[in-house]
Amino acid sequence: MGTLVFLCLGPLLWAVQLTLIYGPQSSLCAYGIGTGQGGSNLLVAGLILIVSALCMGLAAAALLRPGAAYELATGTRPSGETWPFLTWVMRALAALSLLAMLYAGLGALLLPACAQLR
Amino acid sequence: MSDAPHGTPRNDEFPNSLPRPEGELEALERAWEMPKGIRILTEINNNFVGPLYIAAAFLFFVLAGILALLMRTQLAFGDNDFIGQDLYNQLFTVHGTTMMFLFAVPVVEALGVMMLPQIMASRDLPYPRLSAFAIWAYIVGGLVFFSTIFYDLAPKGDWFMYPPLTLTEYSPGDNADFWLLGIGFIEISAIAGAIEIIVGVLRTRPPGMTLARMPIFAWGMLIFASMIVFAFPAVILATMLLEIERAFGWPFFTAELGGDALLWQHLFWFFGHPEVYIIFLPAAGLVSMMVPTMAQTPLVGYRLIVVALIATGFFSFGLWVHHMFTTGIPALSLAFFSAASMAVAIPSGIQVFSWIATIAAGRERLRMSVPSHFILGFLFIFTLGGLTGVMVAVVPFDFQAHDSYFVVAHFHYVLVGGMVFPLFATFYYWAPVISSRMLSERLGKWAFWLMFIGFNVTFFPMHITGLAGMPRRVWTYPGNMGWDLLNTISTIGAFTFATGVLVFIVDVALNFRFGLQGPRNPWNAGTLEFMPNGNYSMRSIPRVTSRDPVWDNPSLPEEIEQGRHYLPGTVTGGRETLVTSPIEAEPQYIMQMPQPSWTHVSAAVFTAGFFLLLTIKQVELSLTCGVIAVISFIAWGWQLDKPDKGMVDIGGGIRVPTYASGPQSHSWWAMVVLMLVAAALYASYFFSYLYLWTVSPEVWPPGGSPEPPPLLYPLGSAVLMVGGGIAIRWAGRRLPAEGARSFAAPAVLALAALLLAGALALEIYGHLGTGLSPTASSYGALVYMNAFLVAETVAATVVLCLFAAARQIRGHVDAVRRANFDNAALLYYYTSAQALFGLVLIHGFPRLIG
Repeated sequence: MGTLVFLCLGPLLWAVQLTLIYGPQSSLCAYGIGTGQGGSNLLVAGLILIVSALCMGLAAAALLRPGAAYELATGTRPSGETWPFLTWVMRALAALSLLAMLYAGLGALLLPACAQLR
Repeated sequence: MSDAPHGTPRNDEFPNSLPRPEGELEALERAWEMPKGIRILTEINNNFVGPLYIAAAFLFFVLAGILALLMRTQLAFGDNDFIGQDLYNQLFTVHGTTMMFLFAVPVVEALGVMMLPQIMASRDLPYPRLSAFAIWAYIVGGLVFFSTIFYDLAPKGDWFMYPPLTLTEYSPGDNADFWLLGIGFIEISAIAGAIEIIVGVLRTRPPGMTLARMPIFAWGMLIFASMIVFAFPAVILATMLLEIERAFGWPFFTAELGGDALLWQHLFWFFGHPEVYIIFLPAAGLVSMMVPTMAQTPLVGYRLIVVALIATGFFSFGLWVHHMFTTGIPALSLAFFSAASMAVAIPSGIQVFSWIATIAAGRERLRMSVPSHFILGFLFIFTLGGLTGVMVAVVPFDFQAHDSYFVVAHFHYVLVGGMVFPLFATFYYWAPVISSRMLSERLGKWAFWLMFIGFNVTFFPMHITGLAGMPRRVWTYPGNMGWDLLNTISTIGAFTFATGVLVFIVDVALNFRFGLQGPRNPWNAGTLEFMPNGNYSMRSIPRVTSRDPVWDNPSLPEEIEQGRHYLPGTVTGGRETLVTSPIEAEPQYIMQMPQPSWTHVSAAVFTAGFFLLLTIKQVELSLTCGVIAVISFIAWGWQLDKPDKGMVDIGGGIRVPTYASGPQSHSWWAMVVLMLVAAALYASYFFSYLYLWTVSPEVWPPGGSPEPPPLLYPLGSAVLMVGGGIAIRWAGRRLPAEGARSFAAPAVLALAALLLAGALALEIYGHLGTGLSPTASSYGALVYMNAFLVAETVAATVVLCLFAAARQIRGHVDAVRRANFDNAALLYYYTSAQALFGLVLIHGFPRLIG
């Protein structure tokens, strides 16, 4: 099970990022907490940027140090003939996830946090 | 990674020598012999249930297709009155529902059930009775659901059944209930199949078939089944909430009492969007199997395709709101989902380019057989569907195209292109595995061209019809809108497409002859599915050392047939298969498999009866069916968990046990996957709770509802559950020695079950004492819904604990043979954890915000 978690570390971090940016953004906007003129909300924007940076940092760390990430996920040291394959797939998934997290996080810089815009 | 084998074969010799002992093959054939006569219905082997499953799914495809033709006839020109509005509403609802729930997902599961054992050289998947149960439940439930169209009882709310249209006020009668209970039930059947596929792919591969050598179809099926585990619970919860609101008035979706119709859309599309990829990924896996064979070259970018499959599986869960762009959600939220929609296009593109590269890199020119035709058709159609998918992922464009025929064109390009064309390629490609004759190349090409031309003539004009303003789901339109010609063309195309399907049916009738000894490897595939086979799959199980083992060792078929590889006979005297480790695929133990039986048939029929009779409010009959179903399940379970038969030799000096428990056991894996399903269902509930609070905080306590009961109640419940958990742990350490009996451990199990039920009763009693009503507000409904969800898992846990206790009393559970106990204990711990989380939420959250 731990090996499967290791394999999917990047997409799992992407899922964490999406949950942590969408949930609070929806709630804070619904209650109008921190919402200013034109639907801007610095609290929401800041939260999105911090969460995105954190998740992207972790994905980048896993990408650069797969051995350590494997130990963290499974509690054992990497071994076996499948290790190069697992590392390659994990890294590629982490790279794709980094891109997906960047896409989602960029929204906070480009759009007002709580406006309908129509 | 640390699963060590019990021995390692020497590479310079076969695991088993010739000649094989006399009677070895006959004993194997006897163990796997299909029952005769009416008892064939009790068969559970993949070679019987797989084709049955495919045939049933194809029947639903044809039936739903006929409904489509009726709709196209109605829409052929403006102001047509061939079909009335009410029937038209039923037609498009049943068409969409049948195609999505009764055809697309089941046919893919069917292919998995039938082909995975062949591809992975296992005797069968690990829970063949569960597969057979799923199939019978699906056939009975599906046929009853579809037949509602003949009695004016079919649902009318489209395949997504949005409230408030589907609430009792706007959809009186039983029509919507047939959808809610029928589809909810069929989803359970799909989950059963998914558990089978996940554990099958991870644990029944041949030795040496590491994750790095696993055929892409197996990867596709693994991700497909994993997605079902996380996506389907959301729609199951949604159907439960809507049915409970319709039946008992708990206002989850009624705005005036704190509910919100948009909650349905969130839950439905959290399932509904991944559903598209649930359908597509296995089809992509099929294509990745066929393209290398037709090009006679290894797949280009194997690792990239694995990455693409996993990434698509994950990212597809981040797209659900892109079906809700026009519902008034803030623009930044839409941007998150638009971004995910763009991101998912990358892995899809990787696969398309990989297939094209494989074709280009082929050792020979691509063999233009019927499967190749359908694959090229798929590439053309699916790519166009993908491009319009990127268009509707752009929020401003979606505002314009939403709910128009443009969207109808887009999703048919994706679904028919992405799934139906690969499926027909597969029919032609894999037919020789179960047919003694090939299907006709000539008729196949006719079928392809009629379907390809017919499809594009039908759906391409719909892009224009949509952009010209024609909305979806209209039963007719004024003749002066300028839509007539485009619609007439679409109708002609639909009948052309149907003619292609008819040609395929004729081909099957003329040429398909059920039998396991068809032409051997007619396409010269590199993978294992065309190896000589019997009802037991392959005579012996090879050690796999590459991704294309047959290309690397052309004499492999003869070696397998001669019994030179692992497990050339039956070592336990019955049906069995080799279980290997999940990552490196090293032999771990022999799993003793169940025999044919009526129990799963009875369980399926009466489970279907329970749900369907509930739909028409025949409560007493429904409960009777439910009780018979539970008895059938217990009888079924009683025949499993066969005793240890010691260490056995499978060849090559490898000796493995014939029993396993704990994390090595296949039953432990199934229980873990089942708990993931339950957790996903509960997570959907948790989301619903927070969502409705965000929408209507005014109905939450202290202002809008009675305050929660005193803390003594939840604390009492928690103490009972924790006490039960400690008792279970105690009982687990004091299971009697092998072969002995004990009455202490069963008594403790029964006590723990009682404590769990007591905890639930105390929780409900506490809320009743505050005067909180489930019908007063969405808050009250959610509080009691939590208790309802806990009650479901508690009921299952109590049954499993009592079952394990009874097995102990009968001497079938001890310190070694302990799978029944371990399963009950695992579910107990899960149920307690979920219930404790629920206590914190239900009692803590209102106090936190109050």
